Amino acid sequence: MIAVRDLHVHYRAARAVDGVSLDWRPGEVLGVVGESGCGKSTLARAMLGLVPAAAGTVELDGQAVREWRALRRRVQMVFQDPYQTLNPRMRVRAIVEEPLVISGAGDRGPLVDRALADVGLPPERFADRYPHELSGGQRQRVAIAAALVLDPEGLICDEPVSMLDVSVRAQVLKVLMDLRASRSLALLFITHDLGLAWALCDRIAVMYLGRIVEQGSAQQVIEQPRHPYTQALVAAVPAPDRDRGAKLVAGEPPDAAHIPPGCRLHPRCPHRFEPCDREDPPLFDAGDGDHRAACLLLRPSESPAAHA
Amino acid sequence: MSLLEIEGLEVRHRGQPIVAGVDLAVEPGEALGLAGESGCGKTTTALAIMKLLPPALEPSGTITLRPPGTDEPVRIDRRTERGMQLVRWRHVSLVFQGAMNALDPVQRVDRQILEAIRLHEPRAGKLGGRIKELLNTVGLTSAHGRAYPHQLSGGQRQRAMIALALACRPALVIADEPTTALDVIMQAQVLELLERLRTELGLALILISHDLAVLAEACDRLAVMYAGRIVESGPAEQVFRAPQHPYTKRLLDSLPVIGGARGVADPIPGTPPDPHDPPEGCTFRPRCPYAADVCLEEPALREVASGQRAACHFAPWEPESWAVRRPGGTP
Repeated sequence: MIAVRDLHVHYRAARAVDGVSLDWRPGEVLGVVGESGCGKSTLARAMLGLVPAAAGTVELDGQAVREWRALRRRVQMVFQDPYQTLNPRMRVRAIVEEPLVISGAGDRGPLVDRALADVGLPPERFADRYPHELSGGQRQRVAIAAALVLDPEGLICDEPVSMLDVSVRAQVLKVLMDLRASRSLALLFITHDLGLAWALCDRIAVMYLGRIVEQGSAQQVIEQPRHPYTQALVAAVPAPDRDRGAKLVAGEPPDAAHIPPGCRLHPRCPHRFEPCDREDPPLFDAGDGDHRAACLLLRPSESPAAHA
Repeated sequence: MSLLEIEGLEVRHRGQPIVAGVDLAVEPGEALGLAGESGCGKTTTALAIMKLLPPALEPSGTITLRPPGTDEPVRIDRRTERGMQLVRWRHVSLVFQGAMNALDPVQRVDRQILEAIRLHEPRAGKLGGRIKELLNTVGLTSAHGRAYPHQLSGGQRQRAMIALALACRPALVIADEPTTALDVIMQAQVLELLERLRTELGLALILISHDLAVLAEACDRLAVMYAGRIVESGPAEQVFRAPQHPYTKRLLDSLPVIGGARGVADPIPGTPPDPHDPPEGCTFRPRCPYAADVCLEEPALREVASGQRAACHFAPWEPESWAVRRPGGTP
């Protein structure tokens, strides 16, 4: 549906997105996983033309996008903070109706009612309320209803539940996954939460310092991670009796204005070897289907025994 | 003898209890996890231990601290503000969630540590060596000490905050969501740091978090709070593997486990009760898929398995009995 080709987004000296290529297929639940500052939110915004790209293209149905408005009708976005994204002076009905007003649609009432019903907020009880009369989870569902009302094919959700309590998270995620089934909606989850990506996504792309360092099916990426950074992320997930061994990477990521030469992980990587500080690895085939990772250990010419 | 003993703690807001009937004990060197969602009373409990509650909240009940090397137990609930100043930081410290807000933004980190020590040990000599050692203990260098808080990353600030909490060598540190604002790898690093400090310094820890997985990893014992009450407590792993209260069970079910079942668990319906208008009987009853008429009576927190207590009429729960809901009940 949307294909990103060698996309670069710069904020002054910071290379927030530094050469990302990614396919988001129709009806697919795709997870973009990474820590703060890795460029995942910038990537999401660039996919909708909300921040200008320094280089590279975003393609819709195989055509480079020139008219963002058309794309944004078909792909909507849900943001992290439901306390900041809803206008406090508008009632729920007006908030959900607004995209229809802007797009000039007629007979808006039934569409608003359907969108509210689809997110589990019966319109007769919720349409006339103000955001401050709603809980965090209900607000986030209003934001989802407003994103749904134009009947998009895809929804980009930037940390949609990270501000919500554990028990409320499941309510919002269930709404999203039910929508996927009932409206064959494609979902793109931007998240730092590997558990959430595991539970919901068909495919996962892991980002580190502006680049996708590993991608594949959820099972491949989480159960058989091939990139040392993904391995560290998986090892860091808290669990009783966790033995992390030597899998954690050291220290903290540098900022995007100081991306190290060679492999961008090499100063922190427990497996680095001789060429890692010189060669910037592309995504290599990890040998099990659609699974790829940007680590020189996967280069076909490298013998794993030489640096085991 | 427990290091900290809380008996019958109640905190009222405009006459209504927002924390009720909380009994807790922390042994020397032990890590206790306090779990629960926003508004369940876990932070209020921590503030009551520090005697830092805002004036609108009125505590009752007894809080006794027995610092090692002192004969006289400290009755925190009876201490005056002046008396508490001798206890805070010296015997028990609190690490807040937002380290940026807790550190003084216009003071170098090492100066802040120095001041904390001087306050309690006015006659201490040169402290440069001790401060360097403290910084090293939490994985920072003297260069970090010379920095202002804004020059440090989130993880470094959280470490500086922990160094500050350790400055006067307290026996107990309370950490309120110490890793919530951190990325997952930094969170793992801070958890490993706390674990190391516990073994090396014999520190006791109360770790407060909404994340049961974090607590199960880092703590010996867990207490789960809901609507101001402890609904379950016991050995951390036992609570995590075999919960005995429907709320704990549903919370754990909604936590995705990597490598475990995929998909979204059935959400817990509804929202926690308004503390000013609590439901009759069990506070979880309106959201509980197992509720029955008996739940209109408030269940007592009682031992239901070895070392494990739960406030549920139907406990102990067998693993297979969770599958049988009671749609004919009163929810």
